[in-house]
Amino acid sequence: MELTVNNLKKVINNHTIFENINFSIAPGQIVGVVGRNGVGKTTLFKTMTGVYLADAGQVSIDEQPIEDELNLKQDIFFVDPLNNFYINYTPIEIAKMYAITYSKFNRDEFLAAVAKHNLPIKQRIKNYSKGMQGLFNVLLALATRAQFIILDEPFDGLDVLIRENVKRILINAVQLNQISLIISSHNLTELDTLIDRAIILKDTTISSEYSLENLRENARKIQLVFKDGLPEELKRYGTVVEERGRVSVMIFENYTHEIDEKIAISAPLLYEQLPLSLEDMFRSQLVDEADFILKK
Amino acid sequence: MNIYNLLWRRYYKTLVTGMVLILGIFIYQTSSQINEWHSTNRFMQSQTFKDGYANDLKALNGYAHKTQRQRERINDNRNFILADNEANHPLSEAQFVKRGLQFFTPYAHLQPHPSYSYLENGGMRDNGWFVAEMIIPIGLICIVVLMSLLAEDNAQNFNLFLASTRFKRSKVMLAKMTLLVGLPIVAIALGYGIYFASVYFAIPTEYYNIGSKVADFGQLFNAFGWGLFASMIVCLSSVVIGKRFGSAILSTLFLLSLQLLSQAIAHTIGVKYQGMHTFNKFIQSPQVGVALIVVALIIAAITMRVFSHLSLERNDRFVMFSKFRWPLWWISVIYTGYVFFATTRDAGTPTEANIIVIVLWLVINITMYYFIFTPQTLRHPFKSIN
Repeated sequence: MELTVNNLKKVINNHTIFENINFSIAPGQIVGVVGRNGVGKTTLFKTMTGVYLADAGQVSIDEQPIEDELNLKQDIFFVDPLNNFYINYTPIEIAKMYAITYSKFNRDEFLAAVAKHNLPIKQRIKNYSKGMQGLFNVLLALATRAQFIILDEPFDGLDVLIRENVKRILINAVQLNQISLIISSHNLTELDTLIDRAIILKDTTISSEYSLENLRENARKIQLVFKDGLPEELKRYGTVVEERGRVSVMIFENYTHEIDEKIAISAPLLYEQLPLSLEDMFRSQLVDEADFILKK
Repeated sequence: MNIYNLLWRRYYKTLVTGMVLILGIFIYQTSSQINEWHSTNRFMQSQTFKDGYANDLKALNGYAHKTQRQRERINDNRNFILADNEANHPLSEAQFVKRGLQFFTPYAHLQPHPSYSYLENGGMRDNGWFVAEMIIPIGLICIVVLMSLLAEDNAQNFNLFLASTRFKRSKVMLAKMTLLVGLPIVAIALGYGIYFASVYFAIPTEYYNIGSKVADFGQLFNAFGWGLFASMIVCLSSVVIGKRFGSAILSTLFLLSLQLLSQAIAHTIGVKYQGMHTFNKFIQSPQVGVALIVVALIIAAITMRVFSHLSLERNDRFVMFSKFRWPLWWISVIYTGYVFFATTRDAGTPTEANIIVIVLWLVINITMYYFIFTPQTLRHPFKSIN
């Protein structure tokens, strides 16, 4: 089963939130959707699941548009953690409703999982703590047995132990059932250790898409110090993510032999390779030159 | 049927409570009316009643003992045409008992002294109201519950969940209307069924004067038409108006304004004061009931279509469809303008009243403008529309 997003576009109040969104997700993949606040990640998820109607484009599973074949929606799960109806219900009541909506939903397994994680089974979800709600959301998502599970900020508000727990549950589910996850999170450190691929949203569209494996092979984060400051020529090959006096930190997405030679010719006083994280890619892609982070 | 199961799980507590309440009201009324009849029957067949009938003539309302012909003449102010022997002889005891035990009171709302059925305590039996009028308070309560359930669906984001499921949106809306409007109707129909069946079996045929209720059944059908029409207006407004109480308030105001609209139409088509009674009777006729049912079904179809095209990004706004804002406001301007000015356009209307109407019209439509367009600042009400 492959999920394909094809030329998706959404306009709200005459503002294009996103357009020309194209990507696909294969079974067993974990994809991170990364972007700055307000870029339209949640809107994208809501449009993908039919809560918002797309202005153009479509979402297909195995080349069948889900708007034509509504039963395919059973294979996509998304709940907006901030705006969901089920906070007024207990897990038992929610299980009954989801069992009607998702034919593969296993009520007993779900309630057992809820109890196993010490979530009160007879209490309304709105009485749960934020962390408990986050965990509950993940358990509910997995219980639907949807092939594609979309999680919006699943680590938001979770303490370190629950966060580890949630990550473990998700990785197990992917490994055992070959489900696919689409995760948006501002916690890039967590995402970094979880996802296979990152889709970066910027300026209403996908600005870039990385396989994290390729990224780790080809990209470099390098700290450089030059006597007379960073040569202009080098700036053409990468992105400056930090500048403090004569110290510059640059990210090169595709670090080639040619770049290596250019740096060598420029004769830096210091050349040091730093560990590259998803957060660095976020900075290199999404932080504007005028942004305050660069100025600090 | 899955969507029905899902919605049933969502609404069953309210629906079951409502249906039990409706049936409870009917069963209580049925039981108390039948008990009262039997109690009166026992009294009228008792020796006590027979012995005291002559005295009762004085103790009870004298009008109660007049024959139908005497009453008609009194009502017409033509009692002088009755011969003395007819004018001075009230009902015989047997006639009095027969009349007193008639279960239904015919035309209760039309005559000044209509009831010729009696209670044991000398009061009048008035089972007539039940047939035509019981549906009105129950219907109003059902509509209020419908409004609040639909508003909660929006406010609690249940509609967002429904839109993300595999169920076709038009079927979701159809299922909602079927459950939230259909089930109370079934409960009311069942209530009436229980009432008439119980009365039929509990009251001897000679006193089961159902034939006198024909006009009331016409009114009942008309009230059903109005109820269905009002329910569909509420459903339609729930898929256009997103604010929690916005759709409830707007549809209530619209439904209340229909009384004014009928007056405005009457004035427009030249119905004078003498004709208003006929016009009002026409509005309450079964024919209008049929027309309302047809209109309600058309509104239901429109509601399903609108919900199918509802993108829920504006589900917390007053108007959920951006492109509906101007048409809605213009409808408000024209509708309130027509209703207010056509109702008060008589030459005799005082100037002060005209000024009040103009001010009211302006206030309503300026308020509507702010609700519909939610301008960001009061200083720039047009430029700051989002």
